[in-house]
Amino acid sequence: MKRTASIFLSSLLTGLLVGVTVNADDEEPVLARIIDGETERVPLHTVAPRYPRKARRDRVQGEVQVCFEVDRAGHPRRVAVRYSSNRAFEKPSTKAVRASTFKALGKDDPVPGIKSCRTFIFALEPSEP
Amino acid sequence: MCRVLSLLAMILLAAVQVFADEEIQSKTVIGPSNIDLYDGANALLAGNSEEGVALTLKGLEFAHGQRETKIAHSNLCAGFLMLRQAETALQHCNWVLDIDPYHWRSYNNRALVYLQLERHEESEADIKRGQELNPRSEKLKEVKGLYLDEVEPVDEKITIDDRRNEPLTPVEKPE
Repeated sequence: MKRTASIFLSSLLTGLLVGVTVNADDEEPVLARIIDGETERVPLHTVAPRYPRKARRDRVQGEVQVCFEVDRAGHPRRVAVRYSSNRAFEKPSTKAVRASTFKALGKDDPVPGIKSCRTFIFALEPSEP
Repeated sequence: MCRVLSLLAMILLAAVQVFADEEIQSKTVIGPSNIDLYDGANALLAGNSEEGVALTLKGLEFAHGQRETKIAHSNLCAGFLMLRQAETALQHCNWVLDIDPYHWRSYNNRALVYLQLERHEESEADIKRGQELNPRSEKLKEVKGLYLDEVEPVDEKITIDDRRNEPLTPVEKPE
């Protein structure tokens, strides 16, 4: 069953990026809406999670917030779920964060001690006829 | 294509489980009592639908008692659906359910038959009835998923939002 995710635009949202991201399982690209934040670390490669098959089957939607630190090289560290509406979405979300990267810092730049958080919203919408 | 394959895989599992479960009940029999029925179920499980149906039909000829006959019809329902002969499959599912209206696997299989025949309301009713009998069945959940994909298809929308760094619950400010 082909999995699809659509791009949807909104001019109301600031810092909106729409991109084709690589799926955490490296199967097929997933289209996801990416809303950039104003964190100190610049996302370099954002990986979208796969919609869990059983959740899709059972028409379950949800949201997960994952918080993490980013090391000097730009790799997420200490990845943890801060909030989730359904456990089914947690693993794909943490996996996607771990596979994502941020712009590396220069050797003299201080590493910010503040955690970054990323929210994944898994939604299902009626297909276009 | 993938949709059809997953549909068939589900039916196969349902069919073979019927056989396995029923075999457990006959504690005095060592090995299958009806070899054609047994081999037919295994052939269906392996995806050899033509061979599976042929062996099961043979097994049906020599079926002893209602138990074996029911297994044969149940597996034939699955087998004929694999062969995309939904009308024939329906007859076999109906046979089982006439005899045993509590046979949830036949509701599972018949729901798929109805889905193939585009008789959506009847498919939904069978899923509902099957889930009443076995609410935890993953197979019925799979069939319901197929049914929903057919009647209410959805697209996945994934949003990645990096803006929300504030705590989800407001932190109390000290007075």
